[in-house]
Amino acid sequence: MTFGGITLSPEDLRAVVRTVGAVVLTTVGVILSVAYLTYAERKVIGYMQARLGPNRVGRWGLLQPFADVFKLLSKEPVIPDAASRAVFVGAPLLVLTPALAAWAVIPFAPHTAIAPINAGLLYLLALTSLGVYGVILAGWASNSRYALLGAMRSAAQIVSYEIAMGFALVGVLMAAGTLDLGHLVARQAPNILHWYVIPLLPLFFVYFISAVAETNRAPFDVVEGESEIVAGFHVEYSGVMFAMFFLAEYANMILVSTLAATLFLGGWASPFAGLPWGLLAAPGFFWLALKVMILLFCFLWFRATFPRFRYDQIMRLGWKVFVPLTIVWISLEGVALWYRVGPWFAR
Amino acid sequence: MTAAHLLVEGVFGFFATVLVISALGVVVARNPVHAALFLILSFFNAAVLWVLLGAEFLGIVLVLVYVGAVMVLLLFVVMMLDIDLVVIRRGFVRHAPLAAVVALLLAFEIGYVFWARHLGLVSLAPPLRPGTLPNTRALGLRLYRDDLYPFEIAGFLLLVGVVAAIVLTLTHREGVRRQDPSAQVRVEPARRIRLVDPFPKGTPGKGGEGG
Amino acid sequence: MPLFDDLAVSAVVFAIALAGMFVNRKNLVVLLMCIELMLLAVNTSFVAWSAWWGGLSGQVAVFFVLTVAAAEAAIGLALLVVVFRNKRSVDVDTIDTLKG
Repeated sequence: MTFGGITLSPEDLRAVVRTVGAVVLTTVGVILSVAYLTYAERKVIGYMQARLGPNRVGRWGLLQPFADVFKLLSKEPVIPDAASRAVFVGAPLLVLTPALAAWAVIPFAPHTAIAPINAGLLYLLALTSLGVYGVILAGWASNSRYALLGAMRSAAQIVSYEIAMGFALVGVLMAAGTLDLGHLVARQAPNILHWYVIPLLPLFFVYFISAVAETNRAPFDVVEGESEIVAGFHVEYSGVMFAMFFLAEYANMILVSTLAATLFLGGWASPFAGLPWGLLAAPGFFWLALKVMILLFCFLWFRATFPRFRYDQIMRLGWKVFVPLTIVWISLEGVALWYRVGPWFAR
Repeated sequence: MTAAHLLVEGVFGFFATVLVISALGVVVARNPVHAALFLILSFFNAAVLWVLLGAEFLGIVLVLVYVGAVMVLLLFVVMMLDIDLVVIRRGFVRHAPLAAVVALLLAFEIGYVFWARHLGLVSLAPPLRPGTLPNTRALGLRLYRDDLYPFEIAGFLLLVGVVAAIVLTLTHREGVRRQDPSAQVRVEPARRIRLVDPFPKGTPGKGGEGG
Repeated sequence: MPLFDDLAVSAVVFAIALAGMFVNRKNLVVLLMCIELMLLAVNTSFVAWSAWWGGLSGQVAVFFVLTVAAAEAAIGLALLVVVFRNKRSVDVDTIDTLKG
């Protein structure tokens, strides 16, 4: 095919169509997962608190997420007079874009990632660190005290926990010797003993708790802290723009859970791999989804269980507990690497 | 011209243009927060250019370190400071012509060096040797094997930077109430509550007879 | 070969950053940002040359520049905060206590 002197070979065309198709499929998948994660959250927390949760829209309330979306979309997006307009409107986009773009490098199944780049983990780390901008800018542009307070808390919290999170990921890098997420999962695939959660258990906990803090979820949700600063950074947002913040928060939850499953729990590898159990031992997307769901359930469980941390307690936990803990564990891991301990560090 | 080639050219043109425009934005923005935002945009665009040049590790590191951490810090500080915009903009117009002249002169000089025929840069054939290793791996080998000592020194420099930043900004204000969680946890009833008998045995009033 | 294009972009950004130092010479915050912009321009030219030569020395240099610039930014911001705390302003002209 030729467009004004440019030749486009059928292979090029096919590659473009395949990539665009994969992107659309992943995005729709993430958005649908977000919809039903909100439903799951309300149901799970409802049952934990001896309530029923949503049960009016559709059978068992299954259509509730769509009702919520239509409600939000039909509401008027209000832009405060004193707000910095361009930044105010751009902030939700800045939160949402990294939350969706990060999915490009996730290996959903063996050899299945939209962009299997060799610095995949670094790319993920870079993108997840961008989400904070939307939050800070939303708080600043709203020109409101509560919003600015929320934004400041968020900035300090996310920057602090990113360090512990980064160190936890360094531990995985040292064990795997690669930044390519596909290889990283493949190294854990032989059987359940190869999963990095076993030698790196403390790092897994640090990573997961930091992930809860990074996504501003309870008990680290001082950023929103409805009892003190109303709703934090998004107090002035309504309608579609609020829906985008909402979407981004849940998309980020799914993303960090997927990442935890990929890095520590063997990703698409079956826990029964290596055993002669046929289909159960086969790797596949199903296993990744199952692991992600278990981790997401923990998110909801935390929210229903723990009271909110105070701000200085959050900072103390991040800097004085997690950072030293990860440094110590990484040093131990270095020794283990030197002596090629277990199936994890043998090269 | 193949489609892939055109794509690279188009992506380069777009991001280079946005880079230059956002660099201009940093300089002329009225509000320091807007200037910081433009700076973030220029870092991001430069990172894309680096990735196009095959330096994908550094491109991603630029986003991770600069956009993800340093600029967050800068934005944080700029938002916290209550800057008087009128005072700070004084002299902007007065210095603008001089600035424009110097900038044009500098750009011309640099361009001349690159463009000049006698220096031969333009006509130089590229000695491009495509690397066999992935960029990240090759750079890692260089840093950890060949340039280990400079790398260690750079790490030490960062440590010094951390300590210096903390020393500079840490202030011990008087009269601030602080919490010591371990002290709170270690509290025992015996040290907090003293049971006092207001009417020890033998004192008048005990027993309610009314003395 | 895109070498010239990249070098041209880098030169233009450097010149803009220099102009920025002239016009914003009172504002400590924007001065810091202009320094960052200059370092970015220089790094871009390093990466361009490195890609052109097919070697890694340029990228290693960029790595070290990034490290040093990160330390510089941290200390610069700390100084900025201290100056603002003492002077209630980020105007460079107010920092003149050493001027006899």
